[in-house]
Amino acid sequence: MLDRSAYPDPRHDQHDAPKPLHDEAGKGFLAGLFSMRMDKSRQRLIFVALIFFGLYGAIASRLVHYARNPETTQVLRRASGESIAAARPDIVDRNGVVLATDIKMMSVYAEPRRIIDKDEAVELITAIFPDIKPRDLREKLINRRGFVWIKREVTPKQQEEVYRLGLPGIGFMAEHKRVYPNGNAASHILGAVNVDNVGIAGIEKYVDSLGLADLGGAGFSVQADDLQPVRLSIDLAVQHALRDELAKGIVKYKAKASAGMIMDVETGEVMALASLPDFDPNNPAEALDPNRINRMTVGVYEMGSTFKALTIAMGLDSGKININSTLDARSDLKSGKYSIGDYHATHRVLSVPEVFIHSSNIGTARIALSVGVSAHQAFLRKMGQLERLRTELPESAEPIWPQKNWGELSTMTIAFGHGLAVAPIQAVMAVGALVNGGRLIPPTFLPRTEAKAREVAREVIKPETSEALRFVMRLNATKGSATKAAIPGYFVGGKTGTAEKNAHGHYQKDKLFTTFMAITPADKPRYLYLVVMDEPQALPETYGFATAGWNAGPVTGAVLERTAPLLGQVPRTDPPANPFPTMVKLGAWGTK
Amino acid sequence: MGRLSVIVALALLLGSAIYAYGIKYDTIVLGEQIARQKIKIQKEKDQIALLKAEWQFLNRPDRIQALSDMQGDMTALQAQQIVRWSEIPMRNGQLAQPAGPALPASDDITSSTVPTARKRMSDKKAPLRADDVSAGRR
Repeated sequence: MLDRSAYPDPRHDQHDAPKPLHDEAGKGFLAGLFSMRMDKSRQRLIFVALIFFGLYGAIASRLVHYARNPETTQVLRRASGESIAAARPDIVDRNGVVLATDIKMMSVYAEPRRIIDKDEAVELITAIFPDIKPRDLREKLINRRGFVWIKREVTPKQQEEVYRLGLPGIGFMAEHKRVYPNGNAASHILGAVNVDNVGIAGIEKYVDSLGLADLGGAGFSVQADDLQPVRLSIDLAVQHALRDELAKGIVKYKAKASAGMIMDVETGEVMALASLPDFDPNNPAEALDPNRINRMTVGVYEMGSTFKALTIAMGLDSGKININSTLDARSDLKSGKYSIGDYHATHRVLSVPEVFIHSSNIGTARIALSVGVSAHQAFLRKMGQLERLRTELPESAEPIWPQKNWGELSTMTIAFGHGLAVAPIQAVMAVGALVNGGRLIPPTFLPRTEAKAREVAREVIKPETSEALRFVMRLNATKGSATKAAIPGYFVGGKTGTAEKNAHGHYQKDKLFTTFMAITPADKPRYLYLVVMDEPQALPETYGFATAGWNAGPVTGAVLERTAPLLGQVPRTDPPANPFPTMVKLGAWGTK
Repeated sequence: MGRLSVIVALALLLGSAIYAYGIKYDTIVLGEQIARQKIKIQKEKDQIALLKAEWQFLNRPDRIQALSDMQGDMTALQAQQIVRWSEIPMRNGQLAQPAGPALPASDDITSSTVPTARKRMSDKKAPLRADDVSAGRR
C-alpha cells in the first residue's frame, strides 16, 4: 500500500534530526504531511478537520435515516396504520395449567405499489383463499397504501401455495395467535382477544390494562420471552367440574341459564366461576350474544332468601335480637296495602334459628324493622351490597335498589331478598364475611395469600355473630331446606333462596330465580359455593316443586361432592366435637 | 528520533488496523452464527409453544371426561372412599409404609367406615393413598 521508498531513511533521520523535514529535497508531499512545524501545519489541520466532519456527518445522517426508516415490520405497520398481533403473556391456572397461550401463525400481506399485474395477483390469490371476494381484494390492491393484509392466520399449506405463486409484492409475516386449549371451560373468566391480540374482555382485558397495550403502542415490539405468565386463582379441574355439573343441572331442570362459583372465604380467591350458556373464547363473536353474559358479575338479581342470612346477621350483630329471641310469625305482616306472608307458613312464634330454617319472610322482616331503616341501609352498604363490586374482571354491574324511596316496606322486603338486586358475586362476598369470622374480603381472580387477605379485609361483624350464622346454616343442612346438598363427610352448611322473577313490575309465581349457598366445613368454613338457576322447571321427581331446595340445592351438592376432594377437603367420618361452643353455651334452639 | 517515532507510530497504526479488521470479521462471522442459532432457538420455542398448546388441547377436561365416560364401569369418587393414613389399621402391628406403592392386603382392615376403600384395595388395583388428598392440590 505504501511506497517504502517514500519513507525517510532512518539513518538519515538519525544524523539530520535537527534539520527541518520539509527542507529535504525528494521527500515531497509525504514529508510535508509529516512536518512537525506548527506554522506549516494549519492547512493540514483544516484538511483533517474536514475529513472528520465528513465522516461523522455521514454517520450521523445515516443514523437519522435509520431512525426515520427502520427496515423492520414497524415501518410497514406505521405505513399501513394496521396493527400486527403482538405477543401476550400466557394465562395459567393456580397449578400452572395453560389456560391461554400464543402460537405463531403466518399472515399474508401485500405491498400494492410493488405488485406488477394486479389482476393476475387477484385471480391467483382468490383461487387459494376462496373466502376472499375478488372485488374486495382488487380494491385493496389498487389503493396506494404501502401495506395491506390479504389474509390473517393462514395454514402452512396455504402459505406454501402462496409462496409458490412467486408474486412480487406479496409477503408473509409471523403473527401471534391466541389459543384457548380448554375451550369453553373458563370462558367468562378469561374473556377474549380480537384479531390483533388485544384483550376485549375478561382477564385478557385486565392483562392489557397492566400496561402491555401501552408498551406496544409506544412502538416497542413485545417479545414473548419477556412476558411472565399470568397466574390465576382458578383451578381448572374444579372449574370444569363446576361447569359440567351446572350443564347437567340445566338439562335436568330445563332451566334457561345457570351460574355458579366457588370462593375461598379465607383469602377471597375465586377457585371457579362458570355461567351457562357460555362461549368459546377461540370464537369471541359468540360472546356478543346477550344471553351469554357472565351472570355472576354482570347480571343483577334479587337473591331471595339467601339475603335472610344478612338480615339475621345484622339483627344479631346490632344486639337488637339474640339467638334465643322469638319472633311472631302467626299471621301475615301488614304494611299499608301490602301483606307479607311465609312460603312455608308455620303460623306460630319462631326462634331465630327457626326463622332461618323455615325461611320465614315475616320473621326476617320483623328483625329488619327492629333494627330500623337507616341502620339496615348502612349495614348493607358496609357489606358492599349497594355499590358496584369491581374485581379484576372488567365486566361488573351496579346493584339496583330504591335509592330515593327506601321506606319501611323496602326494608321489610329487602330483609328477605326482594327489592334489591345485586350481582351474585357480591352476595358471595357478603356471605363469605358472615361465615369466616366477620371479615369482608373482596373476591379476586389472582392468587392471594391469607396474610395478604388479612390486609385487605375489613371487620364487618363480630366473630360470635359469624359463629351464629355458621350454626344456623349447618342446622339448615340437617333439618331445613338445604338437606339435598348436605354431602356426608364434609359438614356442609347451606341456605336456599327462591325469588319470583320481576317482569313489568309484577312478580311472577311461575318464573323463579333460585339460589343456593353452601359452606364446607361449617365449623371452620374454607369454601363457599353458590349456584343460581334461572327459571328451573318442576319435575315429577321434585314433587312439582321448583324452589331452590329442589334444583339449585342438589346441583350444589353434586358440585361439592365432586370438587371438595380436588380442593383438598378431607371428609370426616365423625362430625367435629362441639363445633359451635357459644351457641351451646347460650342454649340456642337446635343445639340439644 | 522524530522520524523513528513516526515510523513506529505508522507500524503500530497498520498493525492495529489489521488486528481490528481481523476482530471485526471474526465478529461478523460469529454474529452470523448467533443469528442463525437465534433463529433456530426461536423456531424451537415456537414449536414448544405449539406443542404445549396442543398438549393442553388434548388434556382439556372435556376430552378427558369423554374418555373416562367411555370406560363404562367407572363411577364418581365417593367421600367414603377417601381415608387418612391414620385411619388405616396397622398390619401385624407394623406401621403402614406411607411411601409404599400399594397398601397391604385388606384382611386386617376391620373399619366399617371404609367399605368401598376396602373393596377397592382387595381388588388390588387403584390403591388409595391418603396423601393424594392431604398433600392435595393446594
